[in-house]
Amino acid sequence: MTALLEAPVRTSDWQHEAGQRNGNGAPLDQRHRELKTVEDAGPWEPAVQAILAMQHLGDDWDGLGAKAPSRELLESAIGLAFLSLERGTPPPDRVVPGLDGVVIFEWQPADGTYTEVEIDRPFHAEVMVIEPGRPARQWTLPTE
Amino acid sequence: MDEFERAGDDEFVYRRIHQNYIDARLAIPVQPAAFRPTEHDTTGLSVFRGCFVAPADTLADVDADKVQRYCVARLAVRALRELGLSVVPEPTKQGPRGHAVIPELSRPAYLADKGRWKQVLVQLATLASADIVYQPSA
Repeated sequence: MTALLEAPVRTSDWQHEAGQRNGNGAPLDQRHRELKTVEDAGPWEPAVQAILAMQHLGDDWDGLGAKAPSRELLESAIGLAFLSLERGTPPPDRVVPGLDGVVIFEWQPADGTYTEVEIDRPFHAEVMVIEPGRPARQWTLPTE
Repeated sequence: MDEFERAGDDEFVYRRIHQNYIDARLAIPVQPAAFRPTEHDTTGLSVFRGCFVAPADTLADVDADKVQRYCVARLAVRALRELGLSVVPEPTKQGPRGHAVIPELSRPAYLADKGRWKQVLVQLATLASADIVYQPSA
């Protein structure tokens, strides 16, 4: 799974997936409509649905001042989800909004590895992999 | 006991955790994002000292319509120190008693060395996962 995450991610591929899946680049009036995907994401469908549900979070969704993710960031997250699906990456075990407007994908496989991908701004993400007995590794997406 | 008194190693602190960040099916049920400082955390990450409040008391200033979505985790001050974190009293007049902050996890400090602190957040999530002391009633 980690190897799949380590594969190069080009900005153009990521943007292409986002545009394909959720209407990015559509006329402005359409961009105010509800964000939705046009096809089933297979094993990633629960993750995609979790991302889509985040568009209904307003600011202060937690009652303590959390920021809701922007539409552009959610589009990026959906694009990365479909790109990962195409590459055969297993779906994350959990997808959550951060308290500061980010979206987080998290994996906790049985081997004890902890992996987190934080989409922190449109078409940009931070990856962290912590494998048992090894130093943590971190890098950013896109890789090129 | 004075709220401004230094927090001892034998104390515990409470951290409020939104239910979005807890999934009991996972090996580490608490998501590290529950410990990520926001732009409001200018002096440090908010916690409440267990010698001043009960877990449920820490939710006193959460919006009434959202308070049912919160759990509370307990963390030993000694365990925090072992992670390189400290607990500094920062009582407030408005909120629950015993407010304190973890200054190493202020928003500016977190952003200045995100790579390091993200790893610490995973350790905090692991500690919190083992000691959820309050859950909302069903």
